[in-house]
Amino acid sequence: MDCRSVVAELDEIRQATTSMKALEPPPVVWYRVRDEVSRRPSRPRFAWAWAGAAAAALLVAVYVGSRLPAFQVRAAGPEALLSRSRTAASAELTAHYREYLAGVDAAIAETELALAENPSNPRVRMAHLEARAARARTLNQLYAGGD
Amino acid sequence: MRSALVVCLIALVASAAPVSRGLSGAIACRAGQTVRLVHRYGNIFARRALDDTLAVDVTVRVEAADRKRAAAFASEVELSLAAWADTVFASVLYPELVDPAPGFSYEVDLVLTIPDGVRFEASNAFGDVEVTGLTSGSAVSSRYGDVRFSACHDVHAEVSHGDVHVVGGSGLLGVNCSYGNVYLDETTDRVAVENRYGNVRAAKLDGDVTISNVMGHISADGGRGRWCLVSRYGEIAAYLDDSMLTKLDVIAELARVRLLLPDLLPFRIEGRTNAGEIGTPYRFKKHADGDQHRLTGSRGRGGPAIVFTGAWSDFYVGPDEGDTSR
Repeated sequence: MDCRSVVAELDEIRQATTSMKALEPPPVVWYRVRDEVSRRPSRPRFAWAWAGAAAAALLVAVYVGSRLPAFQVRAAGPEALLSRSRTAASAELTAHYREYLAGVDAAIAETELALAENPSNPRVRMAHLEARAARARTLNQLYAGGD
Repeated sequence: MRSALVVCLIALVASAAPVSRGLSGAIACRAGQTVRLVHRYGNIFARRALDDTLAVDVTVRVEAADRKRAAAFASEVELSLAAWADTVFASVLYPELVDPAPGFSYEVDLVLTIPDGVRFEASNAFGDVEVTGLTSGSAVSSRYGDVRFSACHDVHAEVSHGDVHVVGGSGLLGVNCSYGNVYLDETTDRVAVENRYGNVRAAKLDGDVTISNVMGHISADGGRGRWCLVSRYGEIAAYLDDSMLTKLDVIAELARVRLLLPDLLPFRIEGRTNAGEIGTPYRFKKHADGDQHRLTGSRGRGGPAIVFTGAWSDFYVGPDEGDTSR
């Protein structure tokens, strides 16, 4: 792939990013936590620390390739929710981010296969670019600690 | 020289123009059967038939730099309809494509008319699915397209990277959505939505409603019956303006919840949150015990019983007035 095609692809990714629908879970969590930190400095700091810890754990999981145990992600009942430990909740948050990225990676692989058989199909191309943009955006946010 | 260039340009544009071809098929169906369709590229439209025949209209579109090659490909696309026991299988057969050149693209749109009493099941990869007026059950799975149900009874949608729209449905409605958004409007009976990373917006639902989300928001506007809203890390905003709502359960973790109530609505409320706050302009009983905050109160007689539970979540219970984010 030459430089021009790389630049063109990056431009397409940038355009896809700006035109994407509201599909931004990481900011939802982190921005809220940040708001909480500025509003109530005493208690939510641990929540911010959670997000940071989750990001760090996730980056380790993504790049070191460790296979953490799969969490069964289900909505907890009220009593289970109230008795949940911070450690367990933090681990689940990490698992959710990992699942999110795993789904995005699967989409990238799936759309690459589709591009091999239908190379200029606009839906396939858009799906592929959106998946790559989502991955880049998420990793950027993780590296930036949520900013 | 100039005219030669123009002729060349016209020839080039003409050769790259898409090739379109239509074909159709039909097969008799009886009540109790299921029509099953597996599709990959293109849109699917399904609507109610006026007779006992499953009819399928197909539009093939192929685009390539070499128009002859596009036409050859389009001419070899076939529609297959085959009945086996209680199932009618519908599929599109493509010619083998060896080493597709850059610029090569194809899509096949399908329009199906489904007889009364026949269930419809479809899966699609890169295209939308739109189902209208089918009352004998529909199940749709989609990877990268939107799914829309209008005036259908008993539907289920399994969607990965597209949005789900349901308008005017009844019976059982099940939605499992990962990366897209879910929009529900005027749907009754039993509703179960599980979403992960997109948002859910529900308006005027009536019945037994459960909406669960992980990282997206939930917005509920109006509604009757019994509701349960669960959010792990997103926000919940519930605008409760109907006294025919009997019960509302809200469960939230690392979330922010707003329960907005008009002045004339009677209700009872009871809630608690660990490591979170509860805000309200109403004179309800508030109690704090360590990190746990509780609230109980009521207004008038009747109306919904509201119960909320949260961990590391903030709750606001108050009037709808001045809420510009609605």
